[in-house]
Amino acid sequence: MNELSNLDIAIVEDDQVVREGLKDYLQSEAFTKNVWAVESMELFFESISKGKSADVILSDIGLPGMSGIEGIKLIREKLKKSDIIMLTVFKDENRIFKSLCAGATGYLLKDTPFEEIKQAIYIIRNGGSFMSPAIARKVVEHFNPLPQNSDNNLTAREKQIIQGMVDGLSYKLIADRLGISIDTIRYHIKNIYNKLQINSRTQLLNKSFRGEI
Amino acid sequence: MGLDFFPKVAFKFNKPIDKNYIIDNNHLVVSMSKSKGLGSLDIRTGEVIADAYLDSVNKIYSTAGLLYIDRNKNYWASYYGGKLLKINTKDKTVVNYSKYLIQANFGSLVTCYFEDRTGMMWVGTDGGIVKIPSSIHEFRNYLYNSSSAQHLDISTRGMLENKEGNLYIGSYDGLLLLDIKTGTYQKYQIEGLATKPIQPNPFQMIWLDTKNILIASQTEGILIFDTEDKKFNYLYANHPKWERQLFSICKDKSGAIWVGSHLGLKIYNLEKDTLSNYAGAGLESNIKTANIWSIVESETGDLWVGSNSGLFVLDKNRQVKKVYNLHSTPALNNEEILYILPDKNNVFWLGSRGGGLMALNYSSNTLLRYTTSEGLSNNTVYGMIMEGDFIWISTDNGLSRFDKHTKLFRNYYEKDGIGENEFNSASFIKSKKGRLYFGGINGITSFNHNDLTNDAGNVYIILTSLVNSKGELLNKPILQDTLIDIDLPYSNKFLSINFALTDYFYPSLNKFYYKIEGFDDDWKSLEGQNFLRLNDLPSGHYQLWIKGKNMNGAESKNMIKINLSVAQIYYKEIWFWVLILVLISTIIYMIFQFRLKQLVKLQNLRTSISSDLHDEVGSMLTRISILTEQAKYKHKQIPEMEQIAKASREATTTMSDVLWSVDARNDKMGNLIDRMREHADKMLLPLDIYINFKVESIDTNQIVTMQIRRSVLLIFKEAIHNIVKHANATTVLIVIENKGNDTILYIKDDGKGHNEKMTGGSGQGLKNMQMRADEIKAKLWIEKEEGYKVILYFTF
Repeated sequence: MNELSNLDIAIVEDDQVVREGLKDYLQSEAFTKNVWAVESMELFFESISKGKSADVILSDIGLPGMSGIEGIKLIREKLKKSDIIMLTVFKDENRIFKSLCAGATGYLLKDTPFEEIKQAIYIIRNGGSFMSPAIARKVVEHFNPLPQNSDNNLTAREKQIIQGMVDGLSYKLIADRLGISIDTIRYHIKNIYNKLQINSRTQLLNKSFRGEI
Repeated sequence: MGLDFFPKVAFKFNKPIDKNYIIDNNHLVVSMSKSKGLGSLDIRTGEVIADAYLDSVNKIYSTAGLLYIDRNKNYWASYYGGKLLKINTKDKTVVNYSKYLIQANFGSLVTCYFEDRTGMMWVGTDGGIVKIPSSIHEFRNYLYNSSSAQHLDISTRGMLENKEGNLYIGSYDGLLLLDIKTGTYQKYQIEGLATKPIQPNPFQMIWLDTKNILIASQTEGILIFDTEDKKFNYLYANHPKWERQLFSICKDKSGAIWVGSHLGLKIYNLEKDTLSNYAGAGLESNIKTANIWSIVESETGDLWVGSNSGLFVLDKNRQVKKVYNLHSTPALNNEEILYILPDKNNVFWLGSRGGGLMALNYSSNTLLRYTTSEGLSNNTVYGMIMEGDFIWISTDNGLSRFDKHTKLFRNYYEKDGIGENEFNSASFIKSKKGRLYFGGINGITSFNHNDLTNDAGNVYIILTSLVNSKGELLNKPILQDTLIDIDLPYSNKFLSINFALTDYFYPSLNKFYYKIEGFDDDWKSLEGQNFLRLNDLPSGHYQLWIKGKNMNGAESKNMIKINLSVAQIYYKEIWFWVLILVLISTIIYMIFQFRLKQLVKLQNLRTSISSDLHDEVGSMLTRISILTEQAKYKHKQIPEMEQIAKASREATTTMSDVLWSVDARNDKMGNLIDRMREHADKMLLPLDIYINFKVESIDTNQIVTMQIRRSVLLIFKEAIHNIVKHANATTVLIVIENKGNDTILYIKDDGKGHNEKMTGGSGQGLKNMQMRADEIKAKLWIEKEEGYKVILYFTF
């Protein structure tokens, strides 16, 4: 794993305990430069417009005012290089998937041990992401109806990885099976999320999105 | 006094006249003074028109009273002394109806006349009304004594017609020659021998030749009457009386003359002038001693002999070949056969004394009986004349007309104009002109068959009253063949119909019939009942027809037809059922809607609980988690912190599971499988255990209940937990598949080295699993050999 440093991290979370807790921890870590936390999306954009920056944004989905999912879309437009990690209390596949479609790069449970949070940020900053089998299935479902040679459809490799996930294989086993490294897998996953987002936007515009929104 | 409204005309009369007159064409008929009867006057001049006929009538009947002219231009006049006459000045006939006044014990003063539409004459007197029906006009009676002096009655027997068309009639007053035009007659008796002429008493007569009549006399044996000399050849004068009682005579084709006597069948030899006994042998010797009433030769040449001891059939050789009596096969209704009438097809009609009419089929040897029960006027049949399909029958009480096709009788009595009801045997003839004559104890009645079969009369049925629940519907009686519409409500399906026939002669003998057109095939008889009370009619539309028949069987020319519409009770009407159906549909729909709303509410409630818990409890747990992480981070050495964090996470997971179960959006089988897979991934992947997760023939869209989802998930989690705890597996096989109604969850790991102690430790876990399985009535197998094998059968 590559070492990262000087990351600006923003936390959008309406629960004070969680917000302060995460902020305290991340602040005290070496790889972070500026860690700032706000309680709503509106305040986040305000801060951004005031000149604050964020390489990684940790955002709650359920927020007062503008929801996390809506915020993700805006962040994607404004901060193209930033990574967005969703924070959820429970592993709600529906909402997670929606966030991914909206443009999130990854997701975490809020009660994930701090260590693991750090690892997740590393993975994502290194160009990868992670996916659970349930999410993988949703991705498959989503991409299946699309015509084969559309630009936004998954590549063959990407499909293989997804299928591996759906089949319940661990990253290790998928990597073994495909003869690639785990990092490569992670990288592919991030790409898949990207495509998901683009695809979702198009679909939304076409008003043919299957009721997920 | 006088005819005031002819003021310009002066009348020359010697005597004063009444205010009583009839107008016939251009003359006036008035009753003249008391002694002069009817007179005819010219209207214009007042001159008396000489009318010899009227004068002749006046001579007989003298003073005329109230006058009337009927539709046939007959004059009706009442005469002094209770006499009522109908005078036909064209035919120059007088019919004397006085007996009607006498019979009814009415007074002698006729006060008014009314002729109804059927032609019946209603005569009002000072003692009541007398009705004289029109059919009377068809009968012409001769030799009839209308006075109460019975000794003047002429009782007739055998009849013969001469060249001129007049009738020789045997009577107890002599042999009469009746002028059928005038009604007058000549009387011939046996002259000579004694001072007083002897009564010939002819019973039956036949023409011997063109000039002479051969007579079987009831008292004087065989007589020959010379119609030119008008004299009797009195034979057998010296024979004893008992040999002189003869009743029948017949000349057969061979020329033999058969004579029926008081004592057996005899043969008369004309040349020798001898009457010898019938000697032929045969089946019955009774023929030699019986009273022989009738001798008739059939078409086939057999001789049929009717006696008071039955019927004998003699073959061509004049042997008795068949006898019919009370014991024969077939047996006669009555042994005394008065007359035999042969018909076609070997059928013989027999008239009996007391047994009515019989039809004997000689070929098939069968007998049919017709008595008063079948409608015959009287069971003593004297004479029969065939007229096509009809037989006219004279009886002891009335004249009966029998229809051979319909087997129906139509009877005529005195009141119909036949003169006297009691007829005599051997007394009937059909003239060459086709007129029928029947004789009885008081004269002869004559008629044309055709005149009477067309006697349908103008009979109509009148609707006199129509009453429903609202009351009387008619303003006045209705006569025409009208169609009346009646609507009856269900609650009051009652209709009362009264009707009458326009034949008023004998109203109690009028009959009525009805039928419901479309329902009944036949007319139903009401007999004499002239009303219909209809109660409780069935619902629907139909027509009620009513007709009538008078006593002569003439049907009414019209019918009463009523269109009945009886409403259906509301609950049988279609519109009612449609309404009910709509109502029920609406109610069902509303119930469903309500339930749906309830379900939706419940669904929403579940979702909102889900959300609330998610938000509130979840947040709290998260806080605990974060805080402990912070504490752990800051104070690394405290192991309890780690446990708190772990416990908190587990709480969150449990919470998550509960919420996942409750959330209605996770209703599908697919959701359950995903959850199980995720859990397996989470627990087993970090341990590098290969998960072989197989889903076979499962419909992921199938709905699973909350209970089953929760229980199955928990059982699964427990099983995975066990595998993790004993941590020496490298592969886990998980299979979910459908087999018929059951779904099977199969979990097997390849871990080795389990021992009982270990399994004992997980006793509580196993108990939990069993409990969960029981909750959803699923079957659970757990084997602990090489690794765990958990099999769960459940249905949903």
